[in-house]
Amino acid sequence: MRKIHIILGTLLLLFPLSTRAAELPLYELMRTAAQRDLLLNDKLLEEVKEPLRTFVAKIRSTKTRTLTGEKVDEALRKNYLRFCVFDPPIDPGKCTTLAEAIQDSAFAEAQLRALGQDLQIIASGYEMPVDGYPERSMNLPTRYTSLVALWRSGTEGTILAQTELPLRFKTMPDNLDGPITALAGTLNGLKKPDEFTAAVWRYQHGYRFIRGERLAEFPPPPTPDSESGPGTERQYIFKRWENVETALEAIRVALLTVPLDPPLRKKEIVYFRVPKKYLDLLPENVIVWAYHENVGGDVGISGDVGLQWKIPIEPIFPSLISDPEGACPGATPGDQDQDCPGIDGGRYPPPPEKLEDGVLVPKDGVGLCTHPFARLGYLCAPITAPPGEKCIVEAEPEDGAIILTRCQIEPEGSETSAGPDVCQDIGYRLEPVGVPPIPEEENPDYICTPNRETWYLNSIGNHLCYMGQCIEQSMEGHRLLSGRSPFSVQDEAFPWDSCEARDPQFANFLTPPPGNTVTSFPAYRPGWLIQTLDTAFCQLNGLPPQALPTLCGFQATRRLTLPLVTHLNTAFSLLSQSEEIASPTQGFERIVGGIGARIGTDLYTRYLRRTGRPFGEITTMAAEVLENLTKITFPLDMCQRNAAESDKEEEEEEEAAEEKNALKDHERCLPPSSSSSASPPLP
Amino acid sequence: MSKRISPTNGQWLVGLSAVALLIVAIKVSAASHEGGDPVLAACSENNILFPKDLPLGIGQDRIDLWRDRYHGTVSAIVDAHFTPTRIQCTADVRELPSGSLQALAAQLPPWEDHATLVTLSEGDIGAVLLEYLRIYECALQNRALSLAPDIAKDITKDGRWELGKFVTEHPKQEQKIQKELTLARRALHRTLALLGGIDRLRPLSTSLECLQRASLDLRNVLGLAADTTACLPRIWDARGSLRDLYKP
Repeated sequence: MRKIHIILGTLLLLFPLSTRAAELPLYELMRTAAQRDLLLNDKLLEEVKEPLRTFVAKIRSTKTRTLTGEKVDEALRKNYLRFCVFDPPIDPGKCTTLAEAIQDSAFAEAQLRALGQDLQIIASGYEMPVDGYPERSMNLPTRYTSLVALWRSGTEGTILAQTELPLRFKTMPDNLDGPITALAGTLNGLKKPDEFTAAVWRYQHGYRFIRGERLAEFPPPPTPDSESGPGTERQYIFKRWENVETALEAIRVALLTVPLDPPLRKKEIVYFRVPKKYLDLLPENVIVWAYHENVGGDVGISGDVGLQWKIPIEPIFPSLISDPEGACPGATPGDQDQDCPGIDGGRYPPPPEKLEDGVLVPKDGVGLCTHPFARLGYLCAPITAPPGEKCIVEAEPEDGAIILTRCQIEPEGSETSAGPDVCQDIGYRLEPVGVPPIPEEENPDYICTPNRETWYLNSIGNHLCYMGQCIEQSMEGHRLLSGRSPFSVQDEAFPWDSCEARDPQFANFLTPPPGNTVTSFPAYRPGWLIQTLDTAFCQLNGLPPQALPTLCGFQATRRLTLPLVTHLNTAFSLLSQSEEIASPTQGFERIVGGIGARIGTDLYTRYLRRTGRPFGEITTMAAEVLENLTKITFPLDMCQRNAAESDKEEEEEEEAAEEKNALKDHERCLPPSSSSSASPPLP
Repeated sequence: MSKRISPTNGQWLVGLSAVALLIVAIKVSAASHEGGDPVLAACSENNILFPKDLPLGIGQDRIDLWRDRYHGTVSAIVDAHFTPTRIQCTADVRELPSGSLQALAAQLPPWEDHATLVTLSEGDIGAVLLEYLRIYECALQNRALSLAPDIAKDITKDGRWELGKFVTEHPKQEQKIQKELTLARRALHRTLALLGGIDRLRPLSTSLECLQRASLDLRNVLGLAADTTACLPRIWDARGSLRDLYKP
């Protein structure tokens, strides 16, 4: 016996017990969910998970016979020898009937929950890449912002202020162990799976939003109505968890003390990246997010702290057991609220709505628009034109419809005679190094003055603007032809300047501007889409695509025109016709999603093709300019281009160049008859 | 006068015809493969992916062993899908497959050919996993068809096997196979439903990654060019092109 203890002790030392389960990978989450749907456990034995287990036991219990979770499992396993042991005893026939009723209830409810989860997974798959939470595996909004930051010119205002997000990222400091641990402890304390899931969803838009503390910026979330309070199917959708809010608030308070250099400008947002050591503290599949936003005015620094799923796969299912808080106050709060009644459900109450300007609008969903990235999306953009925009098509909201419209944003940037000027707002910071201050020091026109250090934001646009400024400054201070410097720009220092040969380098770097920088959305043609569906419908029923849609339906009277041998067979055939039509109908329903996805992708591709081309041209131009820089051949002679001083050899070379450049004699100030023998013009 | 063909000659002809047909079939198969069509193998057992002769652990049966192997492999591949992958930005933009995906695909009939395997990308995860599932289901179905002799073989020790154990194992494994056939497909379909939604923008994300890298290169080059441009006013100054105007 002692030996066994020693072995067990050694094994326990080798495999220390963990209070928290290791993080489940995605596929394992899906597999567990699939097992739950099929009412199976890890060993492939029938088992019902909570809260469905308690729910089924409650609804199938009677005044004389109380069922337990174990009995539910035995009923599913058809283990009647164990299941049918009741006090008082039960008739075997009634017992099997009861077991079948339990099986039916459990499978029906499990199927409903499986459907809910399937819908959630479909929605998550589509939303995850575009919802803008920074911790996602694929995050397109962050990538767009990063690209804009790489290419932009200027530091503050931009031409398209409506579509750009002044955003920066900062990693959470190391001193947040306490608040994060407190939050993790609070969440781990929510033992009921449905309640835990609901709590994470509840704070997906932040605790301040739920508290109504962002009222100055965003409308508060809807309050529960009579159909959504405790004891109803929606009880967890509107429930608030004070301890979770307190834990999130502690994180925000700590983050407000984090110094930001430079301080947040107005409308600027700082997103806090959560280090892995903090994410590891939280329950599996849960992340915490936080951002500050300088909204200016009386509010000053706003923002929020909230929760989110790493991969949202669990929806808030309709509640099955009444919550002890409010619904059954006398009950002892336990893991599964055994003392509280089950919720019958199935009432399908309408979604909460409110009257706004005479139109009923959904109250739910406003939380989405509090997020920095999501608020730029079309779901959060009002149909009426915001200040500075001109809507081409004025549209009115309609119930149950998504109205597409188009607004033209008036550029905020300045324009010159050559076009938009994107170099207005670079924000140069000039650092004189050993240079005495001069009145023009702050003037960007002098950023390329020798011995002057110039600082600006490291971006492609800013580099190009700086280069342009230096070239312009250079051109203003020198003459294109070698010799003496003039007093004014491009002043003719010598009378023969106008007779100079053409600069072979001239216009070498200039490339034509991109063809079309204006973008537009591809046409959305719902009529054509319906026709496509009609065609598919006709083909499924074996009819030519050109047939009228009304004729493509299944002919239910076909069997009457082609009766079978006996009337009975014909009658049965008529009855089974619904099954015959079921398969094409199912196929039709499935194909609709596929067609829709393809059409959406096609629209997206066409949009990208149109916008991508000018962008590609710009990058090609940049590559050409850079390539040309490497091909510059500097002249060995100082005055090579002075036609008046060229000797014969140079003239020959010049002739060759002349042929190449197709210069005419009069352009070189030479007599038209013989360019070689012509005497050069005298100074 | 016609020559009578002896039975021996007839057998030869049949044999030659069979060889010729086999060669034609192989050529046709190779030709269709070259065209890029996926090669679907027959639904049969695969002793490499799901071996029938590996020793079993304590309390473990063959189905458990295969389940662990199958779900473990799929889980590792799906996990690797969510970790940063290697992106090839030159020539065709392509996301190179993770090591686990590549290793699995190399063992599956459609990607056994090296020329096909080198074109594999991370975006092919759905096709590879579905093919792996198909082979797993085939292995389970084959096991169900020959369950009795297979169980007898598994539980045989030193040339003996217990009837009592056989009687309990047979229905247990039979049920397990049926449940696993439903569960494995459901779990993978759900996973692929999520991945399909996310991955629809994956090519775009990959291209943006390449664009971002190119933009960083361009920014660095332009930064150097801007540094050089700062010298322009001095280069063009005819009075003394490279002379500092002011000295402390």
